[in-house]
Amino acid sequence: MPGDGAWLLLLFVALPLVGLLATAALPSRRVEAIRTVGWVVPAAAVVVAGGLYARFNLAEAGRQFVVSFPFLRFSYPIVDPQAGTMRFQSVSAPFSFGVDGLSLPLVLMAALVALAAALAARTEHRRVKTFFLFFFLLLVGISGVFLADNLIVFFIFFEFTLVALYFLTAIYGGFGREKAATAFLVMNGLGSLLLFLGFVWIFRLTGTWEMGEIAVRLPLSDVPPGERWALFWLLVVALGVKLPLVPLHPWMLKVHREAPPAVVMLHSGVLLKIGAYGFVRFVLGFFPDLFPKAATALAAWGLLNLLYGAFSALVQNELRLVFAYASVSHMGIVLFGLAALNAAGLMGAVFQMVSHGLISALFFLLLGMIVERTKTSRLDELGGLYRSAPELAGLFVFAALASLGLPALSGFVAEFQAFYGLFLSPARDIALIGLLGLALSAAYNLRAATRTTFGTPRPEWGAMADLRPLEAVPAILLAAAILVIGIYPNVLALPLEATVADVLGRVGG
Amino acid sequence: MIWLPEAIVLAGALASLAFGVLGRRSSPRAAMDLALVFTLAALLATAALAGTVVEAFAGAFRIDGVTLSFQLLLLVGTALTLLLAREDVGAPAPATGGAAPSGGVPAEHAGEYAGLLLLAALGGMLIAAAADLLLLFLGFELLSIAGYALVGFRKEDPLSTQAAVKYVLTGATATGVFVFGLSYLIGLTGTTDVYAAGEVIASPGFMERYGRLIFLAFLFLFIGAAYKIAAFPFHLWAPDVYRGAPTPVTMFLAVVSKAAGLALIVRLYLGAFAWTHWVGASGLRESFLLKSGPVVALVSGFSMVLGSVLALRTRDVKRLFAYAGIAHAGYLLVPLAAANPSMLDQIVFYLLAYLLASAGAFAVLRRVTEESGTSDLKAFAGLYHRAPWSAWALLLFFLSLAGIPLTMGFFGKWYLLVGAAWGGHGLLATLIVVTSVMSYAYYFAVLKQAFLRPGSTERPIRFRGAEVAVVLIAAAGVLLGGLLPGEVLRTIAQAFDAAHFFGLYDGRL
Repeated sequence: MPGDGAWLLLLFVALPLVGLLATAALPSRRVEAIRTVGWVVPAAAVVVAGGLYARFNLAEAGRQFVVSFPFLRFSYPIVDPQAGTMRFQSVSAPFSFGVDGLSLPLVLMAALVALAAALAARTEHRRVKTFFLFFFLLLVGISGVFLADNLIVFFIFFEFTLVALYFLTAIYGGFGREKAATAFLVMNGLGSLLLFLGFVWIFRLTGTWEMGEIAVRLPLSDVPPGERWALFWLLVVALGVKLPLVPLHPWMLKVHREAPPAVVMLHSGVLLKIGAYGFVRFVLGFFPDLFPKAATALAAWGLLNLLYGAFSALVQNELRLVFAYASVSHMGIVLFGLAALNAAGLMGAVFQMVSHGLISALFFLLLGMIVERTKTSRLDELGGLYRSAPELAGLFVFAALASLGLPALSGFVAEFQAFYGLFLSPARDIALIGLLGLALSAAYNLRAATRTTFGTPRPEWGAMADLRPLEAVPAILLAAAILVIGIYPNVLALPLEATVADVLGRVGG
Repeated sequence: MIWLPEAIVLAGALASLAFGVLGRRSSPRAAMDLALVFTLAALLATAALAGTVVEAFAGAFRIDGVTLSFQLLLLVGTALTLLLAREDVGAPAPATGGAAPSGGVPAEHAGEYAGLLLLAALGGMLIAAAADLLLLFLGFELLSIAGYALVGFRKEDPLSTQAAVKYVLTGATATGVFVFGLSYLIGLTGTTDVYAAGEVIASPGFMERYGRLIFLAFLFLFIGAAYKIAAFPFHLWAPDVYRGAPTPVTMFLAVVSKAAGLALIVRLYLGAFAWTHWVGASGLRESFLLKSGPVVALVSGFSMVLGSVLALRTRDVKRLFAYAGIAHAGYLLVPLAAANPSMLDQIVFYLLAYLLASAGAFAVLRRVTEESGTSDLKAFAGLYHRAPWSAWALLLFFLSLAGIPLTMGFFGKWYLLVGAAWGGHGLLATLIVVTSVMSYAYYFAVLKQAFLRPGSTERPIRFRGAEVAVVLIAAAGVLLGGLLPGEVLRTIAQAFDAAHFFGLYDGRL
């Protein structure tokens, strides 16, 4: 029988499914009931995630609360080259979940962002039932993807997010929504299928779909290095589409620009992190011996992301694009942390994933409110928010400060560790150049914040409602999380420690 | 009574024909119902034979795992076709001018309609069971000729007639090519028994002497058979024929005919050719399987790429199915090209997934095209508002065809990829991945119409009872195969294991 924690884990994965079924069962005219289900279920998921956190054993490096169901068993032919014979081996890929120090922070963050997004989505009034059906489908994918224990299960949840986000963007997006959705579908489809190809090839080499097993077997296998390098870069590119790495990023700009704010909160906050999570779990986890040799190249790629994103964010007039490029820039810092290959760097990378998830979600939450009031998200049209809606403006400035890395907020903790880690590593020159990115980050964040909040409001907006109580709840939730992590980083650092040490212990082969 | 299933189908064909002539005019659909009852009886009779391996009629007729699996597929496909075709009878005649994509069949021809469908199915069943080249050819011709008549069944519709002529002309050419190859094979080996021919080819010294001619025979046979599954280079008939034929017949061509064509290829290739080894000119040991692999891979690769590229550029949904069908034919050849020991399981599993999803999609397509009078993409616009359940069903079927979890199609593609990786065919695996992404684009183009675009009317669409039945059966199958892939795989594996087909399946777990 699964233990206490395992039940919670199961509940966490099943909750969005319950929400999906409940939404499907409600008739589409009962809009309020659907909206209520829409936020009650994610709220319950936050509570459950909290329960997982409370029961988490800090000393344990591997997966905890493992739940497993028999799912897929098939016989697979194995050739014995010495004897020249072939036999069939039974391979099973159970539907299994577990949580470790790496997935726990992401699960917490995802649950929180999902709740905030669900609350923000209450303003959606077109085809509400359909919206929440796809919204819950997206949550099903999100809640499983970080917990999946084997590659097939991971991929199944991963693909759920693809379908759901396609429809959420294509139905509820802005003017260019269909093009954006198609670009997303094709680029992400390619990324995820390349990833799957990599998974299948890994299975060919190791004979298992279990992540833990692969991490042990793949480095020890006698596969020629050329093949493993090809696999390594295949995974980097496949995950790089999702992260996104710089030449592979245009689709995500389109999604940021067109998708409704509640959806972008989840997209920017959580979905991009699947790419980052994959980097840690698959690229670093499966190739601990190759990774150090590629670390400088990856750090350089991170630098490209960091600077390209920062420079582009500096000149955008569209607020959504400022944040989109800021995401590109911040994901570069994740790569920095990984490439450092030491405890500080790896911690920084995970902190950056969580912190950016929260900050980005907060940004788009606020942006949704601003757009609702002013009908624009262009910097040259915005302004004077501080006079017309001071609380909203205050939160916006808070988000900008968190994003630029103000000490005592989560962004600072993350960036400091990632940079510190990279300074300690052989690629310290890259870290040095990267500091320029931090300066730019201050510039574009302040530019966005001042242009939006300072100045005089436009007369046609009239009297503007400040933060409504219902809007305040998700914003305060996210802001509080940012603050807590900034002031007491150990909330995340403690569960991470054992896993990080375990991952690093295997690096270098 | 191992020929009982065939006998039942033959009796059903004759009974429906007779019923069409003698039966009462007041209940024209009774002929279709009669045919359906016979088909289901044959299905039961086939299932009852599970596990038998036996030959009859001097070795010309063979029941084994391959026979039974393919016959089950053929009969399920035929039953679904008959359900759909049932609604054709007595429906209003198609509009003159040739624009109508579908339309009724006059009540007085119902008997012939049902009879021809069963005769074609009988041809397919004979192909699956034939271990003699002449019987194989007989089945091939029976399937083809009944198919020609079915495609041109709506005589008053110029498109239907045109399609029939194209089908006959290509079919005749392909048959010529096939028979030419057959003459080489029979002439060189001196026997018409598939397995005896295989033994002659494998006899010492034979390949050294006649290797080139045998290879030529294989090429002609393979290319000729490729016509039946609409693979490159005999694929060009598919779009026009699919477009012009009555929709149930299109479905029959897409699923039953394709399954029969694969049975033909499997029996010929694995029965007569594949297991031959000889000492080549360079003194090295050669194997036919490895020598012919590149040819199969070439046909498979070209089919995948051509079908997908063309599907991206079409706006007619029936033609889109034809092009996608070409790509699917390419996928289905991958296991043979990769020559892994589980290739038959892969083919049958993928075929089943393809069959179910296609049948469901055709059922929706038929009602939609019938309502709007066109098979242009636009016909699907607003489907979500006109018949929400059918839109969700269509989503499910297209996800399966595109290979997205949790559908059976996903595991079909997964298994193909595993097989391709086992054989070390990285290129084919990459092609599967790339063309799958293209299939996302063209399948979602239809879904985009169904879910996003407003239709010209909001009038609800009422599905006929038999169409609903097809959709439900197909949806249940697609979901079941996606949720319990292990069970389905095991069932298929046992079907082959029981037969000890080619001695390959000893020692399965």
